[in-house]
Amino acid sequence: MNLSEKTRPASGAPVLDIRNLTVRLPKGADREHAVEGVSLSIAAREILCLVGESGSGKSITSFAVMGLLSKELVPVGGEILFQREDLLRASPERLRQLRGSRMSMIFQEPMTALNPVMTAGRQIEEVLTTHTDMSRDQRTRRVLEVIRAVSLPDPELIRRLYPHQLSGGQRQRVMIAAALALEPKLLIADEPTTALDVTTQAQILRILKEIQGSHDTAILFITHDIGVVAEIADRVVVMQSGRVVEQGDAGRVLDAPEHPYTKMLISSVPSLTPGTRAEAPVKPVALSVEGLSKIYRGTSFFGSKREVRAIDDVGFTVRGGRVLGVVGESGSGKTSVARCVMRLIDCDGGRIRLDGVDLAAASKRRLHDARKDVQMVFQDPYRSLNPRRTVGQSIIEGPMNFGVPKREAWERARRLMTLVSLDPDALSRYPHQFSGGQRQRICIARALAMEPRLLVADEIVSALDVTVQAQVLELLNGIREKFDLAILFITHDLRVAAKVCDEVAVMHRGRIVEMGSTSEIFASPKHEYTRSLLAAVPGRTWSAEAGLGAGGA
Amino acid sequence: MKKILDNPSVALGLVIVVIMAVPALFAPLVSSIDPTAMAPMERIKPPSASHWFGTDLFGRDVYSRVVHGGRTSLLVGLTVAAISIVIGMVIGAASGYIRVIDAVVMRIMDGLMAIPSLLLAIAMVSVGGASLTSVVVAITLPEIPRVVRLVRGIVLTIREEAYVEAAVTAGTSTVAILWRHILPNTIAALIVLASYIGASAVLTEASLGFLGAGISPEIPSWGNIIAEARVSFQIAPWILFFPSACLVLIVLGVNVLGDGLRDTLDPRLAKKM
Amino acid sequence: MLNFTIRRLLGAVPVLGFIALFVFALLHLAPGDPAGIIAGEEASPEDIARIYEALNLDRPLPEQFGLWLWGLVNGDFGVSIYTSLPVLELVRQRLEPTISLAITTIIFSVVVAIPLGAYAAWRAGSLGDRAVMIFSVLGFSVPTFVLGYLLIYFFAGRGTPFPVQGFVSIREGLAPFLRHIALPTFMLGTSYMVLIMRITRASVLEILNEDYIRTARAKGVPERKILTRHALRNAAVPIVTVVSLGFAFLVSGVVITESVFNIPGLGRLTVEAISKRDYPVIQGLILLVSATYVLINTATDITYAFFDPRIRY
Repeated sequence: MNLSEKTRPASGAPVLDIRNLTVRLPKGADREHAVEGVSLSIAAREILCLVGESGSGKSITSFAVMGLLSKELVPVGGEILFQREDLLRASPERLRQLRGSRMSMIFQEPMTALNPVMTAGRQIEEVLTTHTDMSRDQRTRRVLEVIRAVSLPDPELIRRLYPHQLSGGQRQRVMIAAALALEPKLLIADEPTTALDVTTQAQILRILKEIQGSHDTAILFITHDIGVVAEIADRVVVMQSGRVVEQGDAGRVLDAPEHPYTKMLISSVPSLTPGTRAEAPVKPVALSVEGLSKIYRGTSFFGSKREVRAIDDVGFTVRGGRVLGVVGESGSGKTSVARCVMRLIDCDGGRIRLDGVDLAAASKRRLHDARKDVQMVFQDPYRSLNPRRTVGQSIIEGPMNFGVPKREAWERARRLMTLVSLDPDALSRYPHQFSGGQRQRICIARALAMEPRLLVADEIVSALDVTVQAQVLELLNGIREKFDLAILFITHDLRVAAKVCDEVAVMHRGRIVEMGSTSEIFASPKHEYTRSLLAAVPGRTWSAEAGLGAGGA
Repeated sequence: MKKILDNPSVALGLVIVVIMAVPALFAPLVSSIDPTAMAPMERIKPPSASHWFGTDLFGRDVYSRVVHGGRTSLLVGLTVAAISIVIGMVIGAASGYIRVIDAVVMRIMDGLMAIPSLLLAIAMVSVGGASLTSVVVAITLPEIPRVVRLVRGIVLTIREEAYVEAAVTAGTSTVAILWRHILPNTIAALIVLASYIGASAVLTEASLGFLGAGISPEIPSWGNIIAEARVSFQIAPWILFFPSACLVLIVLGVNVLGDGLRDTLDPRLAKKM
Repeated sequence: MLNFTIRRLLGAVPVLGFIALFVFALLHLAPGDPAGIIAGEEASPEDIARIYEALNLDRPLPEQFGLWLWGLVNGDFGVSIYTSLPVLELVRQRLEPTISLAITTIIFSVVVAIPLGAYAAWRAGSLGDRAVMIFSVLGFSVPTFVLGYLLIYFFAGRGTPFPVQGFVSIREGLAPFLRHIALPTFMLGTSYMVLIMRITRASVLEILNEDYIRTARAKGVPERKILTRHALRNAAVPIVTVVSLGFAFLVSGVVITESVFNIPGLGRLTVEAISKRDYPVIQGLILLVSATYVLINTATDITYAFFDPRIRY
């Protein structure tokens, strides 16, 4: 394991020492304290990963350090010692002086974290104008220096560009450059790679590791992704519901977790090695796609036509009872494929055959009839149910459109609720009364209510916490076997693909670059792009099963 | 509902509106004096026990005229709000959901918005005569684009929601999707907008009366009363004062109510109206 | 950029066409004889015959519209019945006071509204914010003419610093110009100012919740600079939009303000036209004002790129 090869952090007084921190939640929240009795410390040159699922209080802890908590969240106990100075007792003005100069922070969403009307250079320079009295020339020189330090090409150009002219990865590097401009003692990174593609994520993680090597900076890295932890952490702190449940050296926590929650968290992470599945009898083809293409046309104001080939000559088949994974990074065209198959958008060529009907060319009436056979589950469980309608109404809407009497549709809905492990009496409740994972189950029930032959699942677990994700994937697997359902599974997450897919199609710039059985592709990828994709998966050499095994859990 | 009434602005606005609206609704009961009856002996009398708001240049009772004028204002405010919301909602929903007509409809709306309501009303009244109908039509027309734009904006956002796409893939018809999944999202915004439109209609009607381009002088309206009071403003300020105060109060009440509804229903609407 | 400007200007043409069609339809589809309406009540049969001839009323409607439109394009906005002067000439005579009033009003409103709105957003929920909001709802609810008469009531009389009647051109000196235009500006500007203030507050409030404001705080940027450099700059587009859309609002106000303060501008011209039932003048004014409005909005669209680099041409 590469963890042991890392340079040991320098000893000495910790840069940051949080003792017994407690932050109160506003009245009426689901618990009294957002964070309770949290203690942790980071030394110089150390990367500490703060791990937990949503609502664990990990971000609130980091915001408390920066003095950026929103007004409703009040620290009521403990101390935050930053270079021996208690930040909880520091004046707002003192905190402001420290922010950006001696401690800095980068955020999750590089798309929104930069001011859209200021150039990248000016946003980096702002740190210098705020905290130093450097001359204009000195500032420009320093800005170019830090842009170079985060491995951005052509610093002179980047400096003059606006955020919308940069890619997500480039923006995150600009954020890092601004954060490092004054060589802070502490860098807080709040899920800095979560919104990025896997290859971009690998680059950002590498840059952060380089910083650790070349500066004295201590890094507090907040993440929900155990793979990322395995990739970069020196030490790990695990949080659950506002409390620290376990902490220790990264190698020890990952390979021999002690607390039951940590064990569950780690065992929920799918392995990158696909499991072997019993060879099922070959079922008939449910969906066959040939020569599918989709071109987005935009007219620029100069009258010239711009064309983007979102899908370029894509073909595949899915058999009943099988799962075909379509994997790729953002912009690869994988979601466009799903939407074309659903006829949510019209394709520009090719055939989509489902039970002999060509969906791509079907007339309005034929399409209406065919819709019954193909259903979709969407990415965001918070937006895929109408908040004004009960989940029961949402589930029976489809069957009733196809003439199923209300009574019967309702009965079917009750059966399906039991199937997805929810209380059938909850049909009269509204979506906001359910958690994200429960909503995704409801969406699956809604799709199944139509008794489809093909289910299109578009990133259905990417908005869910890893433990919930494992449950939903388990459910999907059960359904596939029970109903002989063909599933087209769109995902960016190779670990998830390894877990659920029988076959995988790798998409890159609108084309399928490689397709084959999951075990073959993960074991011996042929295409260069597939190889780079697999190489970028964080913590690829680490696997939960192996770790738990070695730890004797 | 309870939560809405708990908002102090909503409560205050409602109280003002009710206090102002009730006498106007029951005008014949509240004031027994004929608002058009002239009494030459009683000209320009300041407020007193027999004439609460005094009398005007023709000896007519200002209180009675203000109360009856209130009916006109309420009628104009409510009709304009109702008509513009209904028409605007239909056009906005169609324009937001049916691509083909969108471009044409929006250009027409841009055109309607460009014509200041006061000038349009003046033109309509000079062509069609000073009837209540032409005043209402003239005030309604320029309000419609506001509703259309709001509804269209919401429809365009909501139609991208995954739950609408789920309904499409479940074979739900376009009309049902609009009615079941999309239009309910516009109700909160429309209630708020209706209150603003009502308030501004009352103001425009009064402004028209003030300029002598409103409803014919035989029907008492606040605008008419104020217009006539201008001449004698320096010697008999009460004729101007009372209808003006009523006008300010009711418009204020409706606006406060609208702000309160907006803050409880959806504070983000503040930028859209 | 030039290309975009031309495209936007071309885009305004159908809107202008619709307005012309609408105004044309207003006269020709209304009950009654268009010539009768235009000639006014005391017209002789000869007058009516002359108008019949001038407006080509004996021809089919589409042809009438075409000929009328052609006249508009060539600057023929009709002739006043009352003064027998071309409408355009009447407008030219009355332009200066109205433009002066519009400019002082816009300056006054913007200068007061933006700082107040931004302050209210920055201190949302505070006493100051509440005061601003109460002022805004009051300003929205008091009709311009009521406000005007209140001002006259307080400022009329001998030795007043602000005369309540008339207009003095800026060519006769800045001080007398400002003294005369102060009250009308205040009267006309209040509701316009409140409109801008509300949008400024709402926009800045929304932007203060954006992620990049949090980034600026994390960089240690002082609050005052966050408000000016980050929040207001990003709120520029909605604010500029409302300043320009508010023009229609301003027009109605101008008519009333000029009438209350006896300012011999376009507003007075409108009121005189109403009282004399001078339809061609009313029609011409509507066309000119609406066209100005469309052009102002088009110009505003073009300036957006200046405020927001994401808008590209």
